[in-house]
Amino acid sequence: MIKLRINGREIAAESGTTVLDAAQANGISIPHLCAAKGLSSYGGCRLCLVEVKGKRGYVPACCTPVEENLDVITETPRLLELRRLTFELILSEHPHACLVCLEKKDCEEYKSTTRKVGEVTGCVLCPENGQCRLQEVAAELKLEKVRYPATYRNFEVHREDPFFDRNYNLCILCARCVRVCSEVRGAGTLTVAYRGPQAVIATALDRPLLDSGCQLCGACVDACPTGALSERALKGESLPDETRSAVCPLCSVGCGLEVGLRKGRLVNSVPKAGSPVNDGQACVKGRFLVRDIVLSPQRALRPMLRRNGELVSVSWDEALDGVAQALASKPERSQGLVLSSQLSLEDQFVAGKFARAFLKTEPVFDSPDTLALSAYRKMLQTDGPTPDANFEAASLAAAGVIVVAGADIPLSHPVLWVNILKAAMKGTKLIVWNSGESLLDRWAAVSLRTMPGDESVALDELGRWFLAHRPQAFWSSIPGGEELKASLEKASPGGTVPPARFSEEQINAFGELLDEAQDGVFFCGPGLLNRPGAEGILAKLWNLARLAGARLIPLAQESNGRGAVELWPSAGPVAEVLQGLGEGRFGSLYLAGTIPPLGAARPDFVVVQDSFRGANYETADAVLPAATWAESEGTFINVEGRIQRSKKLVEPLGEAKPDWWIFCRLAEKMGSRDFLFRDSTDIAEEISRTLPALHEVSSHHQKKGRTAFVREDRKPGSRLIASAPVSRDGAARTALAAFEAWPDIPDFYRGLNLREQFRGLRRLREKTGPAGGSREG
Amino acid sequence: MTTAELDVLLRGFGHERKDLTRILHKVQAAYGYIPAPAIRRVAEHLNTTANEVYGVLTFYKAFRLEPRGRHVITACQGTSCHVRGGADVFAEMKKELGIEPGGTTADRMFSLETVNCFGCCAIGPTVVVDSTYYSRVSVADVRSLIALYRKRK
Amino acid sequence: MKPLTHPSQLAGWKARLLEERPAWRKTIVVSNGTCGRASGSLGIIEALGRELDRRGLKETVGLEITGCHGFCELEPNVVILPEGIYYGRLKPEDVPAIIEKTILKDNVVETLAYADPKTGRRYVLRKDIPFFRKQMRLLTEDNLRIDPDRIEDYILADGYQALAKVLFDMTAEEVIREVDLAGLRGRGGAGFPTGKKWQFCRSESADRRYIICNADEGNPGTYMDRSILAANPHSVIEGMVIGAYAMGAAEGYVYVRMEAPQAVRQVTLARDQARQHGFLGKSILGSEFHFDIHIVEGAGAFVCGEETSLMSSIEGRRAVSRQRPPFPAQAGLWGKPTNINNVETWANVPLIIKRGAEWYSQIGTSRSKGTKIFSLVGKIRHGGQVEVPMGITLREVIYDIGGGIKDGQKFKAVQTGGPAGGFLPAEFLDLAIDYDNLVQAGSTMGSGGMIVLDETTCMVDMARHYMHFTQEESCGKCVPCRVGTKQMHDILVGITRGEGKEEDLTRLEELGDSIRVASLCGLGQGAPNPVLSTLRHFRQEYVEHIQHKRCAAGVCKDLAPSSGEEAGPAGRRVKKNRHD
Repeated sequence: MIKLRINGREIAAESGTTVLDAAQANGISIPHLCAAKGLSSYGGCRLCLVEVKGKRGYVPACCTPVEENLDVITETPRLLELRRLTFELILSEHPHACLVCLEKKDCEEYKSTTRKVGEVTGCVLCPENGQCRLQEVAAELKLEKVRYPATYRNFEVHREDPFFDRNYNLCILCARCVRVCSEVRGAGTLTVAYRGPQAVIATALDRPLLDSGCQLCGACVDACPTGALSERALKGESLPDETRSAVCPLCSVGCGLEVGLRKGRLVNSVPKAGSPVNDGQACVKGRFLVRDIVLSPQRALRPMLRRNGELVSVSWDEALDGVAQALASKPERSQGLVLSSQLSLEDQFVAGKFARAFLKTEPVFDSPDTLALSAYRKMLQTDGPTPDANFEAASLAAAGVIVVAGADIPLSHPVLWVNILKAAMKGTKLIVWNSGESLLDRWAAVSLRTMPGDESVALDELGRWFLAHRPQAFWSSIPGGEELKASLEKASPGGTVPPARFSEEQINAFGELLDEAQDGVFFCGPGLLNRPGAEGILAKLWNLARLAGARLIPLAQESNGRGAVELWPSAGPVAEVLQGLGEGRFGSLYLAGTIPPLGAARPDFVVVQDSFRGANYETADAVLPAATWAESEGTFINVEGRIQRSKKLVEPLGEAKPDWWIFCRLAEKMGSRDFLFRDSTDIAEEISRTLPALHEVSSHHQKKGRTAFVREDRKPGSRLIASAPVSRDGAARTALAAFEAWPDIPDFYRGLNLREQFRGLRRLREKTGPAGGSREG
Repeated sequence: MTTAELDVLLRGFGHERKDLTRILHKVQAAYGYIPAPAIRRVAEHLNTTANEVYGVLTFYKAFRLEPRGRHVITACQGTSCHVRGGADVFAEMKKELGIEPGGTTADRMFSLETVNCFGCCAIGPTVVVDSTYYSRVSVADVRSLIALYRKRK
Repeated sequence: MKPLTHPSQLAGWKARLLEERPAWRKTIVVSNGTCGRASGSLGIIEALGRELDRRGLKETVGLEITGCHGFCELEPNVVILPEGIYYGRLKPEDVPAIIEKTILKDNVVETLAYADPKTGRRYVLRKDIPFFRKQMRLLTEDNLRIDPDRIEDYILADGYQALAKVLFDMTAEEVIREVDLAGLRGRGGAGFPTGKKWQFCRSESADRRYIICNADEGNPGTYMDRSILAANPHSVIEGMVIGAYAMGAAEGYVYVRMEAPQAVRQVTLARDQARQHGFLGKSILGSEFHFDIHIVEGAGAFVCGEETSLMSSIEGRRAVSRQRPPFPAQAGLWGKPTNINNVETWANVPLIIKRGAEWYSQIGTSRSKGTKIFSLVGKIRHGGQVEVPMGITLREVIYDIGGGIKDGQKFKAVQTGGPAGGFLPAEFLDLAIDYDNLVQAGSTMGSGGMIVLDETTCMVDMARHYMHFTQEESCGKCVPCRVGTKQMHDILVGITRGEGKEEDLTRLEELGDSIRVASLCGLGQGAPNPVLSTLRHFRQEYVEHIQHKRCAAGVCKDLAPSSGEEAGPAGRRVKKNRHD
């Protein structure tokens, strides 16, 4: 800690921070506009100028690193004068009528106004009104008038991109947007163009953001201190009157969100600053789609039963009776239960219990990576968890090398990408191996490319580098080492092996990087895990990671993919169910997940339990409307192994009910007394009690401020696996092949296809992948 | 302009960001301006985005996004030239050509530019047409200078 | 020729060159710098070549093409050796007479010799011409002996001997001490003690360091840096190699503005020649020192003359300025310690090493040592490049050297320091020129621009002119410079248009004082100076513009000229609602 003085006070500050940071941490306010946490210092707005004893002139606090014995004064009459003048200059180029209007107070109380106007000429017409940094600074400086004639740059407002507008008439050129886009997100979509009074924030040749590499993550909107960047959802709405914390359900990163509500209605969602997972960053889905997912016109809101060929609205009681009867009457043929990996632990727990008790089957998850994730979990338990499967995204910078295999992380897990980028910028080497190009390649020290299907052979090639570079002693020292060595040698060229996937150079670059670096991490994602034969690939990747002294972490695709395999490790692959359906083996199907339209393969009785009217809704025999994650409390496990509880934000729409409630009531109808849970907390406690790995699901651990992770058994030693485990989905390969269009980016929430529902998302995917269009403009 | 031609040009450079202005100078020397497709291609070559390249090239006065007229007239706006009558010469030039600095005449014969010092301060006002320097230019000279170049191919 | 691998080979080479030099009976030296070419020197060279050929004189009369001789007003000019006869304002048709009368018959062509404008007296020899008499051309005299395309000329002028001494007889610390003792101060404008600056860079531990030669020379009215680079580029290169050795840098950059194509060409050629001959690259002169130079061309941004902006430009980024600290010596190019010096500063280094710090420190004043090259331009009768010892007075420079005001007008002020400098009216004419005196008087040395103004210059217009310049060249990053100078500019434009208001002057001073301390870099910090300086010394002119809608100099077209007549000189419009 460094000791310095600010305004006569002794302050202790962390080395590497700025005077502005130190002041803010100690409750000393210095007005600033261009400085922002997590962004490089800029020093452009000049509001934070301070005096330092012994130094001539003034320095910006945001650019001044703390030093031992620094003596800083933040307020003198001259400094205040300068601050005021500088702020007035800023306002001379920003519509400020309302800021200096004498009627300000009355206006706020009495004037109602719409903000859907063409031009913003003052605060009352600005979507940022009430959350604008200029207003804050004006209040702090007690601004009364602006002495300088105003200029209006008269830009055409940019409305051509989805979700948010860009009105550069309000821009103060603080360049926060440029910095966050390039330094934190790695997209480099925005730049300052031209110079001097012509300077403006722009994209190349003023193309739309979608043509300029933008991922619509909204980081710039959140960084912007004025109304220059504002989301359209807020226009015409008033600001939220309360915010509630939630965990985003739209991918397995599980970002912390602050959801805005007004009069109990959802308004918007912004990433939560300081959240250990995402620290103020989000992606297009968590940032812009949440409200309209929950309020979608595609919601299933009423329980329904098919009577005389028609689906009719019925009461819950009737619906549950109808389903219970139908399920009880078909014991001789198989009954299937397909669950969504996006359901909370509580929902999945109860559902699986129900499946075992009444359907005499294990639950099946609809996500294609379930099998691979299960296999991985088994490998961990039998072959030793040194190291383990948990990690913290925020500490990825400690890794010497990160290998990303089979995952376009900037698209599939955008906020995990943010952490990988941070690590890469700090010196972590990145090795990328995908079948197509991605943003990762721009930072990759080594980029490897293979066609889908070639991964197994490619892994052998990479493994052979270690053959050449490890002494015999190494192989004998690890359990299973000798067998692995033998199998690698067998697969060498000269045998019946297809030609090389990689050049000599690439393999060497790969091997040398891994050798040099300490503490490596291998991530593998949907590109490998969603494929047939994924367990075999995973085993080889496991071996490779072990040879390199690195950890292997598979990335589940959906929000609770990791949770699913913790709860139900013997869950079957959905491919088996699809095959079974095709062979007519099922008498009934309980669909609390998403599968392709059943068509001719449909069994006699189909229950659809979903929040949305998805692919199989029209042909269902019974519809049970489920609450979305926003309408029910639930616990989720993210890619890190972090256990997070998401609170209930709003009352369920229509007659929708939480999934766990539906299963419990159904169980009761079918005669069980084992499902008497009062609320999701009860279920959480049960999970915590019965599954040691999930001990920290309990309420005690979910208290605010505590972190909770999946507990892992620690067994010493680590095995290499010579040959791949027997793959369960060998037989179902054809079925899945037909289903190969399963996207590697989870652009769906339960039965709702987000690309169909949201034009903005569709346009984004069309432009920037996967497998579509050039990456940027 | 074909990508093949541009690639030949780029082959003379490594992939280091510090070569960006040199590359832009070369592209402009070859094409007379920076064509839009070149922005993307240069960005790829340097492993950055087109937006970054655009931000850099628009910062500098030297780089233009549109072709210029057949003859480029650059009038010096430096202080010495200014006090020696350069302001009047410049005003006359704008009047004669009917364009503002940065602009090109409708018949695409002339583009007008300004510079803040050519280094001929002792003998100003200085006007450079293409790469020929004219010193001690007077208001009366402007018309004949323009006429001279209008005749040339 | 193979690169030199030992310092002794240098002396040998010079000796050989001396031997091989043709014994011309007479030599005609042509000044072929940028001003020369703009005035027609190429035509003179061609005519001379033809005439010498026609007369069969090619074997006995030498024709040397060199860089700028300094007396730009009289270009194109020649100097005829060995006498040192100076003929100026030449036209191709003058050439036959020169050959016939002077070369062949040792007679003088009176009409081509310099004539004192007041007395009419002719000065035939260059050394007698008043323009040159009071100068001390330590750096620039060699221009007459050097064809910048030929490294051999530089060797003949004792080139690279200082480098040899440094590499083999001095330690790095000794070099820095010598430069420090000499009292050399940065010639780019800030006047920071060069020895100290070098020491900062050297003291910063790092795996590599860089040095930079700032040849952006953006101040309008200044062109001595590009003249040095175009006329004697090796002097700068030699200075850089010495500096690199002293500071421990392996790579250097010369950043030249693109608007100086001749300078770019010559320094690049010189760099290539230096490489070929072992003065750059690995094992220089056979020593263990390696150093090489990259030449980078600017792209039309004045702000690139500012150190941090210059480094951003070299890195291939937008050339915006960065907050200091950290200073370049601590973290510069790509975060490594970097030392930036002006062209003229580097050019002084070989001189200091060759002649010694003690000798050097005898020249100049107590706190400003050595000579300074000034661009003496504007309304001066004899404009050009003048090199004078520090301590000479403004009066001596402007009147004795420059011949006073042209066209018989009266002196009004001299502007120094460029857009960050100030105006000095007649009462400062006896000021001894040095860094500190100029600052005290309300201006700065700047890079050496000395723009002379007369009664036909409007000081309000000058202020507006500089503010307009700032608006064009501001990088746009910080609010005071980007927005503040715009406000100042708008007020000034208003005043020149007859729309000035009473409170404008207070407003200008308020803004100016604030922009000076609040701006991020030197461009913004210096931008208000011309305005504040004219307000200080010429306030009355502002008052006239505002209260009486009158522009005494007759420059502001919307205002009445001084005579008070209905119409001013031909072509001037008179504002309809002028007050009279």
